[in-house]
Amino acid sequence: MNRLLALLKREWKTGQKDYSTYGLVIVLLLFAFETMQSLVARYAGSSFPMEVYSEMFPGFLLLGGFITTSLLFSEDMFSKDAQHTWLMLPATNLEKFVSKALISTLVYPIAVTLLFFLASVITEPIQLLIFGSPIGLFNPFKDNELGSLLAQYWVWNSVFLLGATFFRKAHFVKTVLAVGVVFLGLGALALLFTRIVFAIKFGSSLQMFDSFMYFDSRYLQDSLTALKVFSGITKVFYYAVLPVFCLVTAYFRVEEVQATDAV
Amino acid sequence: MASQEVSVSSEYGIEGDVVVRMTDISFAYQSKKLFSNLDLEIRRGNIYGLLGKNGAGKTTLLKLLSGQLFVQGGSVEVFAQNPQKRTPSLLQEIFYLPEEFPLPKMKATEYLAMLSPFYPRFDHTMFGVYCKDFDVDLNQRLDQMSLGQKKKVLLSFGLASNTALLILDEPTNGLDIPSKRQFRQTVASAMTENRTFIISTHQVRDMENLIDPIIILHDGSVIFNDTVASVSDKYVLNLTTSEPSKEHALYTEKVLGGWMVLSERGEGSEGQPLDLETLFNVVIQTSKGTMGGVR
Amino acid sequence: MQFNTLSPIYLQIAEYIHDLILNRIWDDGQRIPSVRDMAMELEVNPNTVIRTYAMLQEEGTLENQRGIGYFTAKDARSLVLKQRREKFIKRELPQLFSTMETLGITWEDLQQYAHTEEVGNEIQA
Repeated sequence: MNRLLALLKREWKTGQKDYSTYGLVIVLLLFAFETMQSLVARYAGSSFPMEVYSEMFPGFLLLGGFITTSLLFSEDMFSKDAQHTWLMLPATNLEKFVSKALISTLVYPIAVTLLFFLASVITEPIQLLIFGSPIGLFNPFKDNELGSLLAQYWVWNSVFLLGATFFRKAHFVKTVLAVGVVFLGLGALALLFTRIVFAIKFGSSLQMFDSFMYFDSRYLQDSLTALKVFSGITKVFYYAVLPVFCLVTAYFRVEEVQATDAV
Repeated sequence: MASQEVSVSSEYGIEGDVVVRMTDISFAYQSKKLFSNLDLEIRRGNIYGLLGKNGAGKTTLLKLLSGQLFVQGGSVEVFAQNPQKRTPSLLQEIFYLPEEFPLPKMKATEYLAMLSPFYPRFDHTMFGVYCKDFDVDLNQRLDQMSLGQKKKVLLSFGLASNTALLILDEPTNGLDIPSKRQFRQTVASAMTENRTFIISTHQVRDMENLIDPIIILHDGSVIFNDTVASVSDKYVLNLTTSEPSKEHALYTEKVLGGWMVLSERGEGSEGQPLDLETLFNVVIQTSKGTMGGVR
Repeated sequence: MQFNTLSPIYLQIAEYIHDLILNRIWDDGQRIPSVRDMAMELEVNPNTVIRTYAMLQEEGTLENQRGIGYFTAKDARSLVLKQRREKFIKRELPQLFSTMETLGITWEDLQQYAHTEEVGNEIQA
């Protein structure tokens, strides 16, 4: 437990500068956009600006998060000069993996959410003083959007975490490409599957889209329940099985690298 | 000091438990074979000196025994564990100071706070003492330090970590002259009977009286692993003005004013002990022949 | 301390300690630096110091009080003096005589030199 804390502290210490810069960029960007909107609202006379925060939040949470996650293992596991400092740190593989996984799955989303809130707390009163714009703080709980965003973050962050451990270089781009390839593959499979099912039912001469005409309302109810069950299964798979699978595989990947001499 | 250490023979220095045992190991980089059938035993409570020509594989040997590199044949045991498993219990007993290394962009104090928790017996007081002795400014940033300064920080860290095994790869490289002296003092003072230091070097003069026993690595194997005394007790060096006959001399070297001749020490025979440089040359040159105390 | 290459280090350290005792820098029965401190001061392997201390303990110059440390013996100075005198008579005198004979220096010459300042200083140094 002490070692895990020490590892977490080390993660923060080594990334401190980058994280601070990133945070500062977010705050400054938000401030700049707010100011621009206030200016436009005041001098162009257009209606009062919409909220910048909730528009930009998903971008920073998801895209920024995934890029950060992608780079998480880059130095420690794959840099020729530095990898041995991490590999030879007196801690178990699990502790080393968990420390990084915790940073990216838990600490990052919480930190970004807080940062957005803080940015709005700082920005809004200034806007009020200078331009007289009404105060509109960043409220992550509005519209219940945060929950679904975080869920998406959890799923896809796990995928990028796997990519970060799996690829030695260009982790982010390669993960995106790999995901693209997997989707294309799955899509093709689904298409093939449907084609085969329809072919079995209606004979191979039938074009797939023509078959929709044969749908009967009597079957509709059955189809809907089947669809509900199916979507239930998909949800479990998407939100639980897939990310857990990615995390476990990423952990095994750390074990694998640790079990070689990494030259 | 315990009493057993006092009742010593001339063999003193390589008593103590075996802490590192390498048996019949082989290792190659891609197609370049480096070690084959290498055996090595290292005993507790000593400051070993690892000598070898450039490219003999000193660094590789140190990386193999610390578990950074993996042997391709044979076995390595460090404190009865396989270092390749990299268990935390073993890793926290090994500190390895590489010859060159990148350090994170932070102050020495931050570095200390970050990494010392990983070593259970880390002594913060001694770290401060060592750094002061080495004249290191702990508030300077590590990435702005010279190689010598960085080495001093890491050396202080390693000595203060109180690991049972301390591996130093060319530690005096990059140190200025006063620091080399401080190095000898600090290492001598940090040594205890429970610790084992392994220091690789090709600058034997920097630590002439510090390292002992000596390990000499040559042609892919350890050709010498013994105390300097074991050789001095058996052989003597003499300066002669006439060219020595090949029969009696085990090793000759032309020097100013004659020849240095190494011969077996007879009853009451006088002569100089071997300095490390001569020892090294003798061992390397006679490695193909046979020489009693040299293995 | 500067070491030479003429004899093993542990013997040179023993000579050094003998000098300290002879010159009364270390008194009889006095506590002396630990192995660690000595090794640090001389910049040598602690095991070498242990070897020297062990040797001096065997010849009776040093004593080891377990748990406390090393001390010079009660009669350390007289022991060292005796040893040094023996060495001078057995080793250095014959050499001196042989040199005197080679260079044709007589006893009278020697006595004369012994009282001049120059040589006296050199001997002390």
